[in-house]
Amino acid sequence: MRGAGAFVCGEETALIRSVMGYAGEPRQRPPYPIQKGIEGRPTCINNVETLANIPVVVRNGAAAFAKVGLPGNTGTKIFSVVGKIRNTGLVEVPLGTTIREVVHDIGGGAPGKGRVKAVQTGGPSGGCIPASLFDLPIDYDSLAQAGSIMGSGGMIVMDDHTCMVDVAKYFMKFLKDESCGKCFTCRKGTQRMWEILDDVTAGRATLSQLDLLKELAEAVKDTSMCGLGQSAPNPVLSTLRYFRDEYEAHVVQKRCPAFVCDQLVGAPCQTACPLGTEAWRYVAHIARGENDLAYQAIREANPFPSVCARVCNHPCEERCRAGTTGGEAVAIRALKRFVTDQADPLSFRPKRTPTAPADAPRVAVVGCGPAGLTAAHYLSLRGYKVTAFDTEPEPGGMLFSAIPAYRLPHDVVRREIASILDENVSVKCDTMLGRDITLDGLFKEGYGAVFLALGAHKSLRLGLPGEESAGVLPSIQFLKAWNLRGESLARGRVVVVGGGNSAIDAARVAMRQEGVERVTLLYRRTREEMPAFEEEVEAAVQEGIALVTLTSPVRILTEGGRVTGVECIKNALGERDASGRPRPVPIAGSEFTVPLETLIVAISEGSDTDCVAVAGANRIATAPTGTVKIDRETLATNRPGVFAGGDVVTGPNTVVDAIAAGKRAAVMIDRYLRAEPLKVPAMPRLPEIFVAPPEVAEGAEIPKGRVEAPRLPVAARGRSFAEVEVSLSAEAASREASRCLRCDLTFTREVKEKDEVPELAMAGGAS
Amino acid sequence: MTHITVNGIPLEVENGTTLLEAAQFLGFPIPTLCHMEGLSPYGACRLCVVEVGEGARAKLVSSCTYVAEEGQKVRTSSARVVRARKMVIELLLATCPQSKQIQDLASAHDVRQQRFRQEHEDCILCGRCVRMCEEQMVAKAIGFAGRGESRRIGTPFDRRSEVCRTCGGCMYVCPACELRCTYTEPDKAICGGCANLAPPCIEKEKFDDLMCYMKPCVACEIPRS
Ligand SMILES: Cc1cc2nc3c(=O)[nH]c(=O)nc-3n(C[C@H](O)[C@H](O)[C@H](O)COP(=O)(O)OP(=O)(O)OC[C@H]3O[C@@H](n4cnc5c(N)ncnc54)[C@H](O)[C@@H]3O)c2cc1C
Ligand code: SF4
Ligand code: SF4
Ligand code: FES
Repeated sequence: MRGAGAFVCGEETALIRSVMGYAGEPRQRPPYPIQKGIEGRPTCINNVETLANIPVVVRNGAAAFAKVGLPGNTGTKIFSVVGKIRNTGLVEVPLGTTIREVVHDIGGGAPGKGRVKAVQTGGPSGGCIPASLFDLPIDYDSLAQAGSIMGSGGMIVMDDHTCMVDVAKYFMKFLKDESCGKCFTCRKGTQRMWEILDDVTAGRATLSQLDLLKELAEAVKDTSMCGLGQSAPNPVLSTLRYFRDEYEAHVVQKRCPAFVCDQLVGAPCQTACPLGTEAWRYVAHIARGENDLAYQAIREANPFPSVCARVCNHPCEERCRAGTTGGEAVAIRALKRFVTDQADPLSFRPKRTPTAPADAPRVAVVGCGPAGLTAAHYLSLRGYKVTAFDTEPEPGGMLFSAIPAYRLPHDVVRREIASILDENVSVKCDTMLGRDITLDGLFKEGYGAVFLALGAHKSLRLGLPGEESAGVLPSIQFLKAWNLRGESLARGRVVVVGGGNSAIDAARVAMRQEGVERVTLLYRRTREEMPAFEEEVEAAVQEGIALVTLTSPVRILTEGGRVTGVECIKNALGERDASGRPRPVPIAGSEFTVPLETLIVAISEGSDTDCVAVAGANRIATAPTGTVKIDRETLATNRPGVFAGGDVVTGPNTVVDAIAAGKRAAVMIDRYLRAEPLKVPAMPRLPEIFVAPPEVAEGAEIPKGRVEAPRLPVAARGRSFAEVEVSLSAEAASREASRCLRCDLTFTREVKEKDEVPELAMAGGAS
Repeated sequence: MTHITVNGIPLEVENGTTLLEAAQFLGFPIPTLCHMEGLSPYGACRLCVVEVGEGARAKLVSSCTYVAEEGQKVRTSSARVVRARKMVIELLLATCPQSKQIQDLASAHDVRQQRFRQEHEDCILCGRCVRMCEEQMVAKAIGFAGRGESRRIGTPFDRRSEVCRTCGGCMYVCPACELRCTYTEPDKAICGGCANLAPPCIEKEKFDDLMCYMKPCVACEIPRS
């Protein structure tokens, strides 16, 4: 049996009633306890923390006490700092200390690579304060203004793995159980707020319910008698105020950005994959030894499985529950590599689902990188005739021109491209938009729609004098010269500036070129903040590339029009910016000079979209960095019939996102050409197909620890462009696959096995 | 004597007068539900809120429980009050739509929609019955039990009360139960209990421990959740 509850007895009049032997239930104040308390007599009620200050005030005097803290908010406050933070525990700080100091300086920030995004102060009915307000001094008034309270001094730190809707729901569950129930609005209001929050987390809510939630929360705050009801809406109101985007992601996109809400997340690996690849499904097949079925599961979602098996940034593994619950993520990409290495891409016959009307116009795809080729492929499957243009002599985009062969062999790319091109697609190389063709021209020729997938091929410049000198190379130009034409542009001592993937690749390619003595990589923050994939950084270091961090170039030294060195300055890590990454701050007087023969600038890439940003009404809207502006949902640009996706929209990004954009573009262009509305309501992608878990002998041990993909020994690499990462053994693959937690089963268990395993759609050999 | 203004009209009232009494004296209508003449103010339904104070310190308080303070400025139908009141009524409709009193409140205050999932509860926990039993009948047979969602009206340990005189006063004052106890003949749907002051179900020997308004009523077979 549940009693009347202790939480509400934090309210003084409820406490008094409970001391008097009744159920704890607040009453109207005034009269205040100090006027009329226990048995109607004046009663002093304060919390222990307050009472503990009295001896200090008495001993040292009020003036001395008031020196600590802020005027009007004197003294100290003890916080219990918990959650996604390195140093948890009790901390006592003077009032007026900023939240940033408590979270980052004392608490040490988020553990691992997580980013602190909010703190919740004041216990269950406090509000959530976003990272952008961390400079707020902790005092009663500032917290109240930000929508929170000091309350019991709880401070819960949240990072990007925390769902703010789930947080609000969690606290509301607590509060609806702890409301004494006297006030109708507090009792029913907390229940109904919880009900709506539950709908949001399950993807059932509508946007108008969010407005209702806010209205209700405000009414509960306004009309409840005691502090419990008056503050109960804080978690809801503060998260709605600062994290409305998260609520809308749940409601509109049916997505939980933090991967917390079960009904929307489904299997995290599948949902994390921009292509919706059912990683759990192929991992399950591998565990059962059904490698053909595994390939089919992969290929159904992804026209470039062998490419992704090598270079994908594997967001699936980031979210893999085996990893987020304390262990190590399943090596999903290595398993994909294992499967794709055994399959011939031509063996898969994609399902054709013609939707194109008989008189459908041709579609033009400009740019034959992963985005463009994917769009062409899926448009062809829908029955459209497509012409795909590219300036380069061969299709493939960055897969050829930038990503080096030691990571992605050219023949793998070629084979995969050949398998997705068919009679509906004609590829026209050496054709440049803006030089050989124009958008107006394409429409005049009768193309019904254009997909712009131009990538981001313009290396950004340092903006230092001397950048034009011989020996200074933009990274993309350097990589293209090598990948497309076999030209070695680097020699002698090479310095690469940057910390992203193209910087690492440029450094590793330079390391392999004849005439290069040594390669140094300069990065302005520390290794931890490098945007490049960690395993690539590791490989670079192993191959002998010197990593010099906390260093920025300030001057390029030249002699007779040739670069001879670069003057650098050391940085210290400064204040964190809103994103939680510390800013590099130059240390005055720390300049030093690095002599060199080659300087490669790899500080990011922009898009070259001058070709579409022509004057006049048909101008395609672009951002200052050159990226094309689109409607995120429909990929439509401002010009009817022109769509864009991939790096040309996002700036330098990933292969898998480019493929996802291509898939979406095919759907949108099809809808456009059939004059259907482009926007479709989102649905969560939940596992549907049941794959029975393999029989495990009783008492068999569940393998622990992740299998790492084997790599070519460093000694064998040298100047060779042979692939560094190699395939898993069959035994290692099945062992790794059996570590999968099978998050899908919650959703598919009731589905009958025999009904759901699809027929093998493989054709023997090449077709 | 205490001096206040209600909606701008100055008023002098006896010390201890509630804001509700003051407003009613001037003829300003304030809807109430848990409040009842003859019973002590309780402040559970929150329908009677009014706005007091000014600027950032302005707040809503339940007028039935709030005793007038010297110099207080009271607004009985400011935009904030009306907004809150409408939400209270909408919540009431969502909880207990079958109550005639709640339906009347909704129509009087122009609440035409109910945007929550519809529930059909028998009790809004206004506590009138509890106060009736204790203060007028001096029996103290029933009270509140539990908290939050499980708060309910009942006898101690849900056993048949020895001090209950089956007077029916509790049902008589209940704003929600008018349609509740229909006994076995729903067409005579007035509360059989308070009309004859001898609720038949309470009398029935075989429902020893049951009182119709506290438990699912087995006697009249009206299904309840
Ligand atoms: C060095 C480097 C390493 C990378 N490593 C990885 C990795 O390991 N994993 C990963 O996921 N991502 C990686 N990326 C990013 C990835 O390559 C890109 O995100 C992806 O290729 C983008 O695909 P896309 O189709 O949008 O553009 P692209 O692949 O860039 O293709 C665009 C195509 O458009 C053509 N084009 C451009 N302008 C015109 C024009 N005016 N007319 C006609 N054709 C034109 C280009 O020639 C090109 O073929 C890397 C990028 C670089 C630079
Ligand atoms: S039974 Fe009726 S009078 Fe008693 S608390 Fe419930 S609604 Fe109020
Ligand atoms: S019937 Fe019983 S419970 Fe109801 S008021 Fe009378 S004595 Fe109290
Ligand atoms: S009438 Fe005042 S709170 Fe119910």
